[in-house]
Amino acid sequence: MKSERTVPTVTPTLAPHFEAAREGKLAIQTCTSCGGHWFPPMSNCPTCLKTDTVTWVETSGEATLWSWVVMHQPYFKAFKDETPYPVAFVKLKEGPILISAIDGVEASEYTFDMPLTVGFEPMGADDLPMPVFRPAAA
Amino acid sequence: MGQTKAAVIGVGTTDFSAIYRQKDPFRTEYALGLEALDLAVADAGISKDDIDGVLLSRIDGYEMFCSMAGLRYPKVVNTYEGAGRMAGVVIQHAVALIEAGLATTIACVYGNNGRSAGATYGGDGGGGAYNARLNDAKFDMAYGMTSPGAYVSMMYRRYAHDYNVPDGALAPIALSNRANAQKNPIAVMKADLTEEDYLSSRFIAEPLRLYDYCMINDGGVAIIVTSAERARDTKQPVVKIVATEGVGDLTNYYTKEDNFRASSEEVAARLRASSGVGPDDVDCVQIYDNFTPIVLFSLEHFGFAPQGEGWQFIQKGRIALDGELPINTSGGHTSEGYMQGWGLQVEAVRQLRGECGERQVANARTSQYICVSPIVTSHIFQRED
Repeated sequence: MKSERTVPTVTPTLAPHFEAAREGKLAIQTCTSCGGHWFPPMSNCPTCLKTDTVTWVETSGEATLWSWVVMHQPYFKAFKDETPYPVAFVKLKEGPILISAIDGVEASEYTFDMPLTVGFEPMGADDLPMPVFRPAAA
Repeated sequence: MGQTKAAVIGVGTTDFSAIYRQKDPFRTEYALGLEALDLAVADAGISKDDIDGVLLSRIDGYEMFCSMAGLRYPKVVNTYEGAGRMAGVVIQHAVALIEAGLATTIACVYGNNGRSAGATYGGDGGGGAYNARLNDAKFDMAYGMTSPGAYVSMMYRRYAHDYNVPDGALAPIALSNRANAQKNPIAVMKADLTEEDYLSSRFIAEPLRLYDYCMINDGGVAIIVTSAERARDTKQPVVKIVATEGVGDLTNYYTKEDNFRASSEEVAARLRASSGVGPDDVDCVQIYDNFTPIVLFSLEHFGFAPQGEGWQFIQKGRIALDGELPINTSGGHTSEGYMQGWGLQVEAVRQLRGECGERQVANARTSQYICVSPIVTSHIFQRED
């Protein structure tokens, strides 16, 4: 069940991401000095190492599917009833990569590099909004 | 780094097969490591007191281990995390420490009681104090994602798509490992394995199947490194570590969009330059096979097969003991035992000594160890005489 899933603890660094997620927006960090983007959020820019150039940006929500796996092994109690289930490796248009899931289409219909758009699903004991993708309108 | 002046004088492996017959909750990585060390010391024909350096992996307490080993005053001592990437790293560090003059004879020891202790390589980290690394992993766990095998499976699915690879293409690796294990007294998995067995086995992280995965078993391995000069005074044929190179490939995921290509090709190029040895000169290669696709990536990135053709290279007996390029001659991680690279390094040495019996590769004089992982390492070994 989604409510039993392990989700990240919301730290001060992560809070803005999840606040945006509650509004249905995928917010990630960017650096005002080098312009890079990264996910998940952290304290500093991975290129510049600086913390004072780190700021947040709302992404387009667009992504493509780089690859996926179908998990058959019961690693997590929370996924017992869904096993086997697919997991996606998704590339955001802005560059960063995420592990995520795809809604609205069976794994047998996934295609490499298919265009996706982001949504959010509540997961974990406190209904944390986590990004989930669906095929973008053609 | 140029050519090293180091050599391996002693190797020890516990009997993985005998140990596998019985789990034991009180079997410890310490006892396994100590047993392997004892075997390695005897194998080298040295006195235990000749050892003046101790480097461990997957044995957390160097103080406890050295106390149990009666090695009170090692000049260098440390313990490394119990990850497979460390096998090659530990040997590299042993070589570097010896060449720097910080020690002369270093015992590199690995012990693994994971099977008895119920270890898995995936799943929930459980509760506890805030841990940054664990919290990062939770971004993946929320989707049921875990285990290096699943991350590798994603790479392989893309590779198979990009290069039109048919289902079952990985089977030759599993089958070859099994055939080699059948000629190895200490190998754990010796039952006949057919292509049909492979194809009908259950998916773990699809497209990877059960027989694409390394096993989980208890065991210990020890490797004693010293200078080639000192090695000439010991009883075994001198097996030199001619060269060793490595590089990290460090991102937020095990899955790499280039399948570890850039990092591996860099290591391969530096190794070729420092050793003078190229793919055609290698008589047998021991390739880290936590999961079978890594063998393909290793063959391609290290120049044994063209990009995208590793899956064809492994066919037609090319990788068999009497083939063009024998791979994982003791049975590898899928059939001999999963000692996270340590057993493979030992086999690279044993083949050159000519002591592999039924699984001996004829005239093996140059062997290579390759680990493609978030720390890519590779060594060239050569027999001197």
